[in-house]
This record gives sequence, C-alpha cells and structure tokens, in this order.
Amino acid sequence: MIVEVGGRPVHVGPRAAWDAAKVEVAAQSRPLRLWLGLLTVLCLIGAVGAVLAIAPGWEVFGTTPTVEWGLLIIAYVFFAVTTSGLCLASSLGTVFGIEMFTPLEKRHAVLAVLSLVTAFGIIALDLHFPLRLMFGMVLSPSPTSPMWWMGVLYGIYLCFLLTEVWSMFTGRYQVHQVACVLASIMAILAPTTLGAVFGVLVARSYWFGAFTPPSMLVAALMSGTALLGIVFYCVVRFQLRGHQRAAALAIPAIRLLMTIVILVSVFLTVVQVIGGLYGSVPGVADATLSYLVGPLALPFWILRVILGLLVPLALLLLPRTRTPAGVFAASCLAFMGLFVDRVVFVLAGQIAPTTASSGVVSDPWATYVPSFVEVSITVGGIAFIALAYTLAERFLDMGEHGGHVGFFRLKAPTYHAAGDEH
Amino acid sequence: MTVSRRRLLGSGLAAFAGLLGARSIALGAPATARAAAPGGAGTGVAPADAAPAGYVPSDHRWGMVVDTVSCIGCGRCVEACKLENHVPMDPEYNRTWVELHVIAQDGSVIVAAPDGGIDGYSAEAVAALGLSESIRQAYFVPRLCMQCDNSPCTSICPVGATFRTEDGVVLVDDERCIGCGFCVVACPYGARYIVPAGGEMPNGYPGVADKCTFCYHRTTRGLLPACAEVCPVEARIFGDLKDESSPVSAVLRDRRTQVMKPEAGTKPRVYYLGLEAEVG
Amino acid sequence: MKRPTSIRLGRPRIRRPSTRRGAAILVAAVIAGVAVLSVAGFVLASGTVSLYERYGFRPEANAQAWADLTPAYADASACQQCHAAEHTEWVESKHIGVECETCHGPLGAHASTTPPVPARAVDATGKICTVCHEQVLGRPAAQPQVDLATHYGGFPCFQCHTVHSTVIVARPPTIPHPLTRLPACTTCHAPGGLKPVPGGHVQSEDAVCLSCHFREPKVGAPPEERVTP
Repeated sequence: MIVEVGGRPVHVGPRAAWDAAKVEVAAQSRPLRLWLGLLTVLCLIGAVGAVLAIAPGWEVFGTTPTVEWGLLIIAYVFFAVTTSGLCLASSLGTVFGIEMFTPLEKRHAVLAVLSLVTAFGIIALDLHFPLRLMFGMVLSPSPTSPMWWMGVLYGIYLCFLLTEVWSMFTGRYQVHQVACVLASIMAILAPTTLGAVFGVLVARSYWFGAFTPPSMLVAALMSGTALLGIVFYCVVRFQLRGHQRAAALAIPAIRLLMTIVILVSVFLTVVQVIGGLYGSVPGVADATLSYLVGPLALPFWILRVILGLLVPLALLLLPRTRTPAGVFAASCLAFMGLFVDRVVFVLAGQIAPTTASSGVVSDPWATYVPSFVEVSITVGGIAFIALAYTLAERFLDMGEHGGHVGFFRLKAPTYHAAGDEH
Repeated sequence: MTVSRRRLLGSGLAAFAGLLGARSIALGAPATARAAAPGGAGTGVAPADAAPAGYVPSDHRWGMVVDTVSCIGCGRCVEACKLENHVPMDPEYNRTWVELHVIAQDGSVIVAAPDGGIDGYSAEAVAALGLSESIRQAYFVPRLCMQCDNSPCTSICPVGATFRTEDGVVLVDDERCIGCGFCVVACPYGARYIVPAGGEMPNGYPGVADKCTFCYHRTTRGLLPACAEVCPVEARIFGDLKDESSPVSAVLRDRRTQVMKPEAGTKPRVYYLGLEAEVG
Repeated sequence: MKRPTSIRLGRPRIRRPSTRRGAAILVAAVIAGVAVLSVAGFVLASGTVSLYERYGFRPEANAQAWADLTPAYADASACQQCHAAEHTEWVESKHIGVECETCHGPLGAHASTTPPVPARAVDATGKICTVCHEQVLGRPAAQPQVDLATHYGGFPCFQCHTVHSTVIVARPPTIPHPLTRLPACTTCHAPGGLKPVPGGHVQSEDAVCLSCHFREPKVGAPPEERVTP
C-alpha cells in the first residue's frame, strides 16, 4: 500500500515496515545494537515468565502462607517508589523552577511513566485476579484499606503523569505546569499510602508504625535520584540532546540531591537498627536480627550498606570522583542498593513471624526462595524500562524547551557569568 | 470548552450503564465449581435437617472456647476440618491446627506443629523436636481463625471481599477476592492462606483467600463445626454467645478465659482456657 | 579554587503567562483534597467503619452461598439408624465422649445415600488408638495413655481391646475370649507374654489349658464367660 505523506509516496505494510526496521537497526552504532539486543533478550525472558504466571497454576511463585509477599511485590514496591521519586526529585525544577534542576524536566516524566506502567504490569501478574481488582476497586471500594488508597492514588498519579508527558511533547506549556504540580503532589501521597500498606499491619511489628510511610518516601527519593543519575550520565557521555546543560546543571544537581538522600538514608537505617534492637520487642527484634546477623545479613551489609550507601557517599564526596562518571557509579550502586533495601524490608517483616501461619511454625526463620518465574518477570521489567527508554531517547526530543516550567517558580536570579551584560 | 447538557447527560448515563455491565460481568460468573463440590460429597442428598431456611443471622452470635487444659493433641479436629471443608491436604494449608507449647525451666517457649498436627503427636514426633532442656510445662493449643470483632482482615481488603456476617462469622467472597494476600499478611493469628491450585479447593476457586468459617454451612443448620463435633475430649466448646444457656456462654460465665494477642486490639470471639502468658 | 565557568547559560526570555486564576483553582483543589483525606483518615481512625458492611454491597448473597454447602460430617443419630447394635455398645462404653466420625471419618454421604457410599475403613494397625492413647509430652494426665515402649508392643490394639464394648468395667475394656478369634493361649500367657501365668504353671497346648480353665456355657451366657481365670 502506498500512502502520500507530505507529497512523497511512502510504502506502508508489513514487508515495508520490516525492511525499514532492518535499515534503521543497521544504521545504529554497534554498541547501541548490542545494548538493544541484550535488552530485547531479557524482555523475552520476562515475557516467558509472564506467560507462565498467567496460566492458572499459581504454583509458579515461591510464596507460602508465611511469606506471602515475595519478589514480585518487592519489584512492584521498587518500581512504584522509583516512579514517585523521579517526580519528587525533579519537582524542584518543574514545580519550583530552580534552574539547576530544570534539565530533568522531560526525561524524568518519560522514565516515571515507564516505571509506573512496569509496576502495574508486575502487580497484575502477581495478583490472581487483576480484572477483579479493577472492577472491585470501583464497585466495592474499601476506604479503610490502604491498598485501595494506594491503587487509587497511583491511578490518579498515572493520569497526571500522562497529562504531563502529553502536554510536554505537544507544547501545551500551561497545562504542563499544572500537571507537574499535581503529579508532584501525588508523588508524595502515593508512596505514603504504599508505606501505609505495610505500616498499618498490627500483625507485623517490624513494619507497623508511622515511621514506615516516610521511610518509603526516602526510598523513593533515593531510587528516583539514582535512576536520574544513571540516565543523565548517559546523556552527557553520549552527547544526547541537551547534554551541555545536563553536564553543567543536571549532574551537579543530582550529585547534591543524592548526597542529601544518602545521608538521610544512613540516618534512618541507624535509627531503625537501634530502635529495632532496643528492648527486644517481639517481632521487631527478630526481624532486625534477621537482617543484621540472620539470613538477610549478607545482602544487607554488603549490598545495601557498603555498596549501596557508603561507597556511593564516598564517590560523591571525594574530590577525585566528583565527576559525571563518579555520579554514574554512585547512582548505579545506590539504585542496586535500594532494590536490596526493599528486598530486606519486605522479607524481614515476614520471615520472623510471631505466630504460626496456616499451621506452619517457622523456627527460627521462614524460608523464601524466589522461583524462576518471579526472577524472570523482575528482570524483564527492568529490561523493559531500559529498552523503552532507550528508544524514547532515540526518537523523542528530550531536551529542554526553556523557560516555561515552574508553576511556583521562585524569584531567583538566572545564572550569568561574571562580566556579562544583563 | 463548552459541553452541551445533553451530551453530558448522555455520556454520564452511558458510563453508568457501562459500570453496571462491568459489574454483572465481574460478578455474574456462575459458581459452577461450587455446584459440584469437589471430593465426592456432592453425590449424596443433603442430610434430613438440611436447608438453612428460616435461619435469622442476627439472632445469633457464634463463639468458641478452646480448652487447652483438656486438649490431648490427637489432631482429629485438623483432619475433620480438612475433610469437611475440602481444604488442601498439603500440610502447609490449614484452617485449623494444633500446636504443642513446651515451656522449659528457664522460661523459654518452644512451639511445634508437625504437619499442623493432623496425624496427632506421637512419641517419635516429639522426640524429633530435640527437646533437651528440662521441661516445666507442656500442653496443646488448637488454633483457628479468631473471628475477630475488630478484624484487621476486613478493614484492609482492597475490594471488600472479606466481610463479617451478622452472626459474627468472617467470610471471604470468593467471587470478589483478587488474591492479593493482604489479609494473609495482616492476620495476627496466621489463620489465612491463599488456596493453591490443584487437588482440594474449599469452593472450587484457587487463588482466593480462605480461612475457617466456623463451618458456616453446619452452624446455620444447628450442627456443630466439624472440629468441635469430632473432638474426643470436648476441648472445643462452640455455641451462641447471645444464648445464655449455650455451653459457651456457661464457660465464659463460670471460668476465667482469655484471648490470644489482646494487645493487637482485634477483639477475638475465640476464647482460651489455660493459656500461659508466654503464648504468642 | 576553580574559576567559575564562563559559558553563558542564556535562555530565550519568554513572558510568563498569567496564572493567577489557575493558582486559585489549584489551591482550592489542594484544600478540597486535604479535606477529603482528613475525612478518610477519621474513618480509618474509627477503625470499625467499612463501606462494605455499612452500605452492604450484597455480602448476604455470599454468606448464603457458604451456608448452602453440603456438610460432610453427620451425627451419631444418623449412624444409629442402621448400626443400632454398635450404637448401643458405644453409648454404654467408655468411648461415649468420642463421636463415631472421630475414628470413622466423614459419614454424611454414607448415611444419606442408598446404597450407601463406602465409609472409610478404620486403620487396623492401631494407629487410630495411639493417636489419642499414646503417652506423649503435653497430654493431660486425665487422658488414659500408655507408654508404647513398655505396653505389650508388637500386638495390634484390637487384639486385646474392644472399642464398642458392652461390658462396663474398669479400664481397660475386657479382653474377649471367644476362642475362635484368638491365637493360642501361650501367645499372651506364656512367661514372656502379655499376661504371663505365675511360675510353676503348666506350659502346654490350648487343650491342656482348657482342661482346667473351661466351664460349660450357661444358657444365654456370652462367649467371654467360657474361659475362667
């Protein structure tokens, strides 16, 4: 079929599309082709896992009545906090117009949409009846349920994010400003309710309390900032659109934010450990010990504390590593460290139960081994975000459009070098 | 942007009709699995005192007293519950189970439940626990859903699939449940599980949450729950809390009872006799 | 100290559109949202309100569905209709506190079908007895229990103990002596057996034992009374 586009005839059809795709792929540089190929393979592995999860066997997960929330819930929490953190981190630019953060305006939104869509996809695969959730949340709502609120708020957040992305790429700057503000408000509320999902459970003393929602917010900031650090290093390294302002403004901005968030996280971790051990409160003490000296000790100490907090902090502060590459390394480690932190958080609350679960006594720890399906879905989720974002970076204009962000722009002076005229 | 009133009304009605249609699709799937109860019991005619017609839920308030002083740990109740309610025979899934609580001389508590106690406790099974310390006290504790008045599970269900009936029994609507497992994680007593696929399923629905229902199909017909029926030493005393002459009311009146985990604020309707303070 | 960068980070000067009305709307929306969330928080705090229960999204239908299931366990009165003899034995025995189905499994289908679906066979090895009567840590002393290691091991329980015994005696239930069902006398009464005869006693065949320990049955006497101690 031949279609006229702008006066030129264009061949349209599967054969033509395939030929065009081959030409397009061949036109990429070799490293890019390798990267996309690797991601495609990982996505396919994830697709295999997803298909296996949909078939009505449901024994494909490693969850048990004692450890009912496993790797898929952890991955969902991880992607949900990442999407909120992306918005929170860049809200300094998009809502308050602080120029140091404005280069983040477009890329964070695309990443946030992808991360949230992946989160929803993963939870749909974990739930046994996802369609019932969609109907049930509307037709038989349960406002006493923090999970209901979480679903509602993340749904609203998705709408605002999509509005933000659409208005961003179609030049509707007024709508974009308002959408940024609303999305940022939701980016605070939604992870708070996600934390409340864990925090209202009187049965799980380790999670219970008002502390959990704020610590989920801090986790969100950490993962969002880290992902931005990874992406913006690539922008600078591969000289993608807007890379000068990215190198001059975004990288230092991310470094600043990362440093603050890591320091806050270190503080929170120390407080949680001391509070958990003090007084030997049943449930809390066991859970804290499970990640200090128990089965979760290795991931916690090595991957989370040393590689996920202390090494990134060092990389960000030491003069020799205050470079975009240093920010990249710190971000990669912090991103990985936060994933491990969510693993420890979700599992520690379940492997040290205070009572038998469905007739099974866990002494001293319950065991949980993620199955191949759970691992493949998680890996596929990460690969999907990377693949989709790479393509978005390739085909969309992610540079700034200058001057229009910041509904609540502060009256700060613009940057000028010494000796410039106003 | 101006929208005419007519269009607004029309789109609103259309949305409402769509929601109704969606609701009927979501809920109208016939419970074909329930009609043919798995396990072969469906071939028989219902017992002569069948059909809970005329049963008024609000006239009753079901409760149970578990006597840990009398319990001999035979596990007949565990087996009876599984056979009565088509609970999976897998030892990981129990609506009710029996634990052995051993309190050593130094005050430490050891809790064990081999296979949930379904085969009782033999001397070999106890020896396999490897109890080396001298023992101050040991007794059996049957466990089940506490049918709490202030249940965490009913509050946190995102679609309201688990609910409390007027006679105080907490049930799970297996056509509304999404299988998220929030209630499983939220129960302070570990009374719930997600039904695995294959083998026995209480209602023919895998993937939904399940728990003790106080044998609702029996109590509405004036029978005892299966566990209370088969207990050889009457360690499970079941009855109507609203009826002052029922055995459970008599026990609650005449003896000192307690509940498990009162600090959780759940207000259970299953009371215990003879628990030590260390029990969790 | 490094010199500040001399790149002019100029941006095109765009006149910001007026958003005063938008700001008012936004503030109103945020206040409304906070109000809604506060109400929800109050509901949460009261802890007992569930939209599902309060406005009844038809939970009665599901409660009725649960109530409509067929019970699998019947009652002893159902067993009595066909097994009157065993029922009478049971009522007068020490096991009156134990329901038929405790040992015989669910009998609802068996009791209500014609011809009756087969009931579960009772495990003849004695496991059904030891599950209640084995001496185990934690079992209350009021429960009759034996230490299996020293209690005539190697013999199935039913060989000496009846379950539906008609004779009310002190524990344990009588040991039946219908000669057609037991092994030789020496099985139990040999020096190393269950109930060894006193020393100096004649160890011999059944016929020798019975020459002293047999009495003519009276009319109507049960078989147990043929063998005298």
